[in-house]
Amino acid sequence: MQDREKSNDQLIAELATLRALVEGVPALIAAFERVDDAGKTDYRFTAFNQLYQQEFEHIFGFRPQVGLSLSQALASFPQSLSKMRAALDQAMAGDRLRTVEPLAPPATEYAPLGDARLVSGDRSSYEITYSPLREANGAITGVFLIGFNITPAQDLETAHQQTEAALRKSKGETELRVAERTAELISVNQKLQQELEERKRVEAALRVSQARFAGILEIADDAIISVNLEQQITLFNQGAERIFGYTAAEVLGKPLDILLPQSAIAAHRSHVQNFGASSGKARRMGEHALRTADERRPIFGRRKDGTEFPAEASISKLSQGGETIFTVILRDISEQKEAEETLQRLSHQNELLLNAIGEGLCGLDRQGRITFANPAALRLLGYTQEELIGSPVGLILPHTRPDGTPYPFSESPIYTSLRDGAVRQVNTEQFWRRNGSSLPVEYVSTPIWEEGEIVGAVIAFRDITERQQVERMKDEFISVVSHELRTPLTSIHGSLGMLASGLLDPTSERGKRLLQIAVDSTDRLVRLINDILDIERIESGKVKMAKEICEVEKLLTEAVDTVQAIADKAGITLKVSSCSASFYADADRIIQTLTNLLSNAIKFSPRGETVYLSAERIDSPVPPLASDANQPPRCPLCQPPYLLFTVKDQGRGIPADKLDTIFERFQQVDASDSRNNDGTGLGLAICRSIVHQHNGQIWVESTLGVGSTFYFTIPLAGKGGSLATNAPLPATADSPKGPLVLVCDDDPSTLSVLQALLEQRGYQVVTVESGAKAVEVAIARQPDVILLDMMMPEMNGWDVMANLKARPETRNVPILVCSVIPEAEAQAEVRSQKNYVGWVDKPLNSISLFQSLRSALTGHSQKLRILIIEDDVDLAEVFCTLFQHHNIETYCAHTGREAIRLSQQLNPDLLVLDLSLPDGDGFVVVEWLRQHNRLSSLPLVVYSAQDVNEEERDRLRLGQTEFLTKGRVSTQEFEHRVLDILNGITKAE
Amino acid sequence: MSKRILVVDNEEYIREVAQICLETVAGWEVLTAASGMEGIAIAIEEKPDAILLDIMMPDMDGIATFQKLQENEATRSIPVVLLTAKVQAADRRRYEALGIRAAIAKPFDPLQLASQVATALNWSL
Repeated sequence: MQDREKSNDQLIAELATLRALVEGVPALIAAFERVDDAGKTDYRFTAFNQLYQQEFEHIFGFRPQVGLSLSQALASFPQSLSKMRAALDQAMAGDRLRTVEPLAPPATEYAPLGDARLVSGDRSSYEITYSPLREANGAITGVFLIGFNITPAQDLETAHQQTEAALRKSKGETELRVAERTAELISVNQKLQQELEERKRVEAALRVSQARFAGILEIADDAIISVNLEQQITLFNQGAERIFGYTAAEVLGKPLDILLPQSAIAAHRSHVQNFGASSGKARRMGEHALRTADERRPIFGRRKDGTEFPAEASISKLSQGGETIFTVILRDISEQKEAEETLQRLSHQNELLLNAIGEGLCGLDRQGRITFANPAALRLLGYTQEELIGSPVGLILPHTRPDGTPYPFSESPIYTSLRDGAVRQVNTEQFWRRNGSSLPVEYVSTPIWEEGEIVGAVIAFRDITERQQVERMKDEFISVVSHELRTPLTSIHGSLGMLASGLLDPTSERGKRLLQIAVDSTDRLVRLINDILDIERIESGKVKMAKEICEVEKLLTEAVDTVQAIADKAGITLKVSSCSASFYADADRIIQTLTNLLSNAIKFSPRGETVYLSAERIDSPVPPLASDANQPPRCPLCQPPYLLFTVKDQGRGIPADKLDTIFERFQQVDASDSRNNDGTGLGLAICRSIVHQHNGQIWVESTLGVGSTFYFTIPLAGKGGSLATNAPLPATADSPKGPLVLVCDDDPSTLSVLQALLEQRGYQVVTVESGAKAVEVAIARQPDVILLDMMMPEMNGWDVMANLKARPETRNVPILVCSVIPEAEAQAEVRSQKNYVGWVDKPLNSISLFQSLRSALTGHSQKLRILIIEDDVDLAEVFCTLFQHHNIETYCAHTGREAIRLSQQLNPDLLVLDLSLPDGDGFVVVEWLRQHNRLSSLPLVVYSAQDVNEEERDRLRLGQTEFLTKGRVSTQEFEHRVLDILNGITKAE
Repeated sequence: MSKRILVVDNEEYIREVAQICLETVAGWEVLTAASGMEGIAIAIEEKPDAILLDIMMPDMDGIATFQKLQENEATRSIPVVLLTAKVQAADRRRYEALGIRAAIAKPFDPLQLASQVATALNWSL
């Protein structure tokens, strides 16, 4: 009896739980049992939830009651009755039947009772499933009806909320019903205790009831989980098993915590407790009274495998007899969340792209109205987002053609592309800015297709003001060059044509004059072509300045010698003053610059005047009083020390408005210069290019009627100052530190030139101005090599050498002599011991200097290895011979494959790479090497016929990397570069 | 009857060659000017039968010179033929629109120069 009571109590509790569940689910739920009424099959309502009851009432006009037979309930609706009966019959036969219906009678039936919603047709549709209800023994005793709302998605939320609201509203009712039910059952139980048979029957009925609800539970896709007040799981349906990965057996009786992320456990407990204490019966989880639905905090579940997933869940509670049961209905929304996140990410990315893009973008709808505009479009057009959106695109389009005729939108390529769906590209168009100014653009109009229809277009446009300016400048230049070339050509053609015609005697005065014109014009044409090519090559960097150590005095003398004849002819005196200094420059180019300036000065000076040429060394910055007449002018842009060259004339001067343009191409002061038939209009432009290539500045000061002074500067080497060169050795942070060179010379300008020159090539340099200091520093710094001047006051070079060799700590440092006295002469005089490894003559020649340095440094090192990757077998052979002379082991690879194999085997010290290889290009080889640690920092010399741009250079870099172009860089220069790099390596190892 | 023609060009050699050509081939009398300003002065003074005018000149170019000649009562009726490197179709249209009779390309054919001028001005040689 005790057992039975307990069993009944349990059944009652479970039933109550199920009941709460059934009411919590936003679905129509009903159960029927079959009755045989005088041989005629009928059905009776055995259970239904409130939603079903409401819907039924809405449609048929009255509330169904438990126990009511279907034929009675639908007596007035014969068609609905037979339809429903047929469905129930089929389910009783064991089938599961799914229908979609608005749970409404046919049109002919609902008129008298149907409500407004039915008539207006906006009633929810349900997908209704009829399932057989089986007893434990498999016998079918009834039918379940479950209907899910399949109203289109946007209505779902509303429908759901309505349902919830309805549920909440009727919660009192529910409780009442549950209480009634409970009371009923209790009374049944009491009866059971009196009558065993009765009890059995009731028990069976309860079991049936439970089975019915259990069936419903299993149908649901969502997880349905019940917990008691102790948070132990008491119910776990198939949906829950699927979602969480646990079986019901595994979790029943376990704490709910196992289904929650660690971080959420505590919070969840308190939420459940709060909820338990609250008066509410059901709520969406994560919801707070003060928050709106949008602010719902996301909730997460934890699967058996530990993974967490986002979920949507509602919780309901049922209290009965002091016991409270919470039931959670939960749905896994990971997919939905992922889709949302992907969408958000994509839209964020798109937004970033649209914002970052420099081109203006406007979206148009089919009617040509602007639907979006990116920031670039707004910036270019000067509109705000608000002003542009919704406006017709005609707002920014021109309304007239360049010739003034009207330009209707219907003739615009944008319009046609909206009409015919083809992409239109327009290279030149004017758009209109908000302020009424025009914006030259090029644009592309791309139609947007959606499901075979043109729904709009995207206009991508770009400001072409700059492009147009460049085009204009190019046109102007071509036009000027064409005029400049045609001018002498016209004279040549005209004069020779006349002479050839025989109309004129070539020996007559006129004939001779024509011949002279032809000859002069030919000269001019030649000069012009040379100058044009020259300036092009210098400015494009195709001609490299062949820099070497120069003596200022020597250059001035040479320049003067060149123009002396013209000066004499023009009756002009040349006065020269020079400082004595060495500097690093392309001597021929500096002479060319000086000659150009001198010829101009001579040309524009009246007979009998003087032209002054000077060079001085500037060591201090601009003095405070720059106007001091006794001070040479300073170049504010130049960093001392530098050399300042001055060419001063007493000619007619240059008008102030021409001072700025005089260094431009084909800019002469006035027509009467008339090129005097010897100028080309390019002389000063070339001077400027040359000076700029030396990192110097050029400018002119002039007073009309008094004269002009042209200045240019060439930076000098020295501490803080950098030598001008357009091909510096890349001194990257990761390249090995160069050998330390101690330079000893009593002339400071020699020291600074040498220092810069050596540093340029990656050497470390320390300089001293006396022999005594040299010995001191050599002991302290232990240089790798000493560069020693011979003729010094006090302690001369011989003394220094003897001193160094006498000391054990400096005995082994190689010494390179640097002297104006040839070696043989000096030796003959002194007959001293040969304490040096090499002798370099002054003035210095950088090539022999570096050659000597290299041999001094590599003299006693182990052999270096070079791998030459070159597909031309002959050329490879030449390179091999070249480097073998330097006692370097040289290997050749003729294909990329071979190169990769050999570089692994040989572990070379340097690679020489040709870019065009039979089995692919050099890029592939470098790419491979880059992926191999040991090889990725190999020094590399790319020596190829192909010019490589910056981007390609980046792809080709290994360790220290040099790019030399065959044809531009001689084999000899190439050889020196390779040796220079190896020189550094020798030191590093 | 012999014509008097003014050649305006900033290039000394071109003036000289044109002068020799026209004098030798057509027997015309040739005056020369080295700039637009000088050309206008000589045109007012000498009233030549035609002006052969260079376009690319510094300071005042051929077009500006032509317009000055048109503005001046004394020189308005003197026909002008351009001597220029710019004789593309577009350039010719521009010259025509300005009222310039013809444009002869540089470099010119020394033997044809006179007849080209004559044809442009409907002169008989």
